Amino acid sequence: MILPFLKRKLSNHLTVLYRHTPKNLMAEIQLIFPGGQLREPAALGGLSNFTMELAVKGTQKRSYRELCEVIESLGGSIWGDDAQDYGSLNLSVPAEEAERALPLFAEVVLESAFPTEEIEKEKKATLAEIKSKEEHPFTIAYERLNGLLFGDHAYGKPGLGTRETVGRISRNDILRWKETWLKPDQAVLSIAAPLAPDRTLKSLKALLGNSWGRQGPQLPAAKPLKALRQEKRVKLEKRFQQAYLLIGFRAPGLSSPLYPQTKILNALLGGGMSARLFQEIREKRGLAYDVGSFYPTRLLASSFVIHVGLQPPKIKKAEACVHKLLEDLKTTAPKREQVEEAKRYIRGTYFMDHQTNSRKAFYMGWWEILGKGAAYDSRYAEEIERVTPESVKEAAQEIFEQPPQIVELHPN
Amino acid sequence: MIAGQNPIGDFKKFELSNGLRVLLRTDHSLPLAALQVWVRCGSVDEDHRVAGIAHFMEHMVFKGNPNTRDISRIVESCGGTINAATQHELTHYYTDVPQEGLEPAVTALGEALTSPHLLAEEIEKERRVILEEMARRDDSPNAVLWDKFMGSIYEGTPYGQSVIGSRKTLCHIERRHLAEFHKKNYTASRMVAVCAGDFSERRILSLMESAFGNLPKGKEESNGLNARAFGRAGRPIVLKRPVQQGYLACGFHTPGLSNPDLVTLDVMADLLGGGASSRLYRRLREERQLLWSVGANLISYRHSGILGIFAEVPRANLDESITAIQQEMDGLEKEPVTEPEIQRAKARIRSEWLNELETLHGQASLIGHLTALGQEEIALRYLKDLETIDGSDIQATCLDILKDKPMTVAMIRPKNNSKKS
Repeated sequence: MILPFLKRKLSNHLTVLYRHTPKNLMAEIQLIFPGGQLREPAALGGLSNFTMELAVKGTQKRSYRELCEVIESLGGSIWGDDAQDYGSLNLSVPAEEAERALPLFAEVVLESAFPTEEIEKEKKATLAEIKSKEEHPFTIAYERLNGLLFGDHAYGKPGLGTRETVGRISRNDILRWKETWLKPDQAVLSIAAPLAPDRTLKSLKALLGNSWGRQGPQLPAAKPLKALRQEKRVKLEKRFQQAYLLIGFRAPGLSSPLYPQTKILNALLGGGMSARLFQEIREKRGLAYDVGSFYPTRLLASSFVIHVGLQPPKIKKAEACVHKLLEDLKTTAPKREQVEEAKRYIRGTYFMDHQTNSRKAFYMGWWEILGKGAAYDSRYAEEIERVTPESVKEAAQEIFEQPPQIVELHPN
Repeated sequence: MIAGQNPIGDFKKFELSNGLRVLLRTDHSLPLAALQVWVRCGSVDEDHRVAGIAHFMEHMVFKGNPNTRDISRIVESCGGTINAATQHELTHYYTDVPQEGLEPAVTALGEALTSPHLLAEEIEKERRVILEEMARRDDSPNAVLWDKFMGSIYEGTPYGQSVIGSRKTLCHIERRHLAEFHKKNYTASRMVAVCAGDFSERRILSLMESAFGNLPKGKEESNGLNARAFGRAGRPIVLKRPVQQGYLACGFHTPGLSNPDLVTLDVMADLLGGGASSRLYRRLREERQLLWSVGANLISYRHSGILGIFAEVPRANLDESITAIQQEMDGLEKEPVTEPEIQRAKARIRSEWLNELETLHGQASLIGHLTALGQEEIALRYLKDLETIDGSDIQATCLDILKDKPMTVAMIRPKNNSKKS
């Protein structure tokens, strides 16, 4: 059901993916590359985020203000983004203005200037943002849980970095980061637009098809993760009204054969309002408003997180209920009909998330950069389809038999 | 617009036998559909003694009916999602489904909305859930500030009342209140059903007739509110909380949705605080470095609206930021807006519309929301009207609507014992 796409390699080895979408209204262009927190030096946590924020704050030809004025006059925007496994530069613009916006996007990709005054301004803003995380109970608990699950591995660190690591980032660090990771031979240019592919590809080839300097480095071997040997429980006290209970487990990365069944497991347990956690904890017992689970897709390893926002006296009851649900999943394979419903839920929500060009471009580029290839955008649903109830039970045993890592955040 | 023009113009209007309005737009390009029901009742329609009942009712709708399967299960097992939101003037139920899930979703939503399960035991359970939701809101500085800001700028009107209610009013709500509220407000004359996507028009109309056709017609009663009820600036609100930075909300009363200057006001709000090249962002964040973030937008209700400015500010700069925002507002009258500023604002607003129109959900939301408030023609003419706005419109509207109007200010100031920012 996912639309077809074109794949081209430019002479500088930049991979270009193009999905022609005649019914859509926007042109979306995303340059995705293997940066992300996974590749940050430990002492410079937050460097990936900071570099992406600053990449759009002026070029060799234009100040940040000039750049904003010209792109916004077209109704467009250009921004940088990053996550654990990748970084990206993005252009969104009404399709009829794409031709005028593309040279601006190329200018940002090739000629970001990283002016010192912008670096200083953004450093202050980032430090304030780090501090303001203290106002968000879920963020506090989740970052602590990530620390328990992944220790000093990059996945265990906050994406924004810390006061110390951001404080020490220099302009040279930023330039080196961009120089190292934003390279044509390891980046993917993913496009979804209602524009004639030939003409757009020709423009992009002229703008981004030349050499950007030396080739990118070989991706270093990822730092191995140490197995978790024991259950850990952290109790935090903060000035909030609501308590949070987070129970986390290490979970399979994208390359694991358990990846599709873990997606089904998550849908069964906490994927929606009909999932087991919502039904047992909210609908049957009225213990919480916010309850669910998530299992994000990560390259090396992921986490399976159960979260409940509630009043402190209810924590014990809710936790017992969660453990009972996990035990059930470990000991009894779900019924075939339940697994079929979970499959339909995943396929349906995944497909519905492909309506905008922004998401169409994202999925193609994301699967490609994670090593699955853009065609996995269609194959994902096929892999989900092959999951059996017994394999869901196997995934549950593999994951939930590890020692849980638990964070309780209490109001004080 | 490149392809398909404005899809909002493709919605066809129908009426069920009880008068319930139905808007349908078929689009067979993808096997998907968005189904929404907009009920023209919200917190402004409540008796203040049971404030929060509209939101409580929305929760109870999801409890379904003892004779039916759980509605969320029906939708999610077809691969869809379902949710709802209660606002001041509207309650919005929405589901997005693969094509094969649409028919069961229409039937299930019809059952849930026409005869919700109001068992005492379920009401008590849901009350506990909503109390948890309240505690969660109380932990969000933005949510707390929003309620206080609305309470001030709309003091003495139902718009000043928090949509979720208070712990006290929530605990007053009994089964009979919910039953009365449902009977009065969940009527055909107050509801609009919208569907966009891959379906047969005839088939869906027939299903909707079965699902919603037995709702009483009801009366389109006025809640007594009109433009005259609004316009006074609110008292300044200063909350002290253990936060790391200041939170600021400033606002001016504007006319409501039916006013002819709606699009001009949108352009004005955008050129003030709609993007990184807008006046407030550029001057206050980038040049003076007074604040961390700032944005402005027009919030429009039936008879009234707000030009709101929201910012996150280092504690030391809160007072200076308020003065600076006031100066920028005064400057709108004195310093003519330039043609490039207007062009950027218009381009940004147009892009936001195009983004919204890319999804079936966005299309259904745009037309459903405005139709439920009796303003569907706005959805049809908005982009055309936008093209015609120029500098003289902005200046004239500004003089007419904002001149000498005091600014309502609400803020959260960090308590002294939280770390300085």
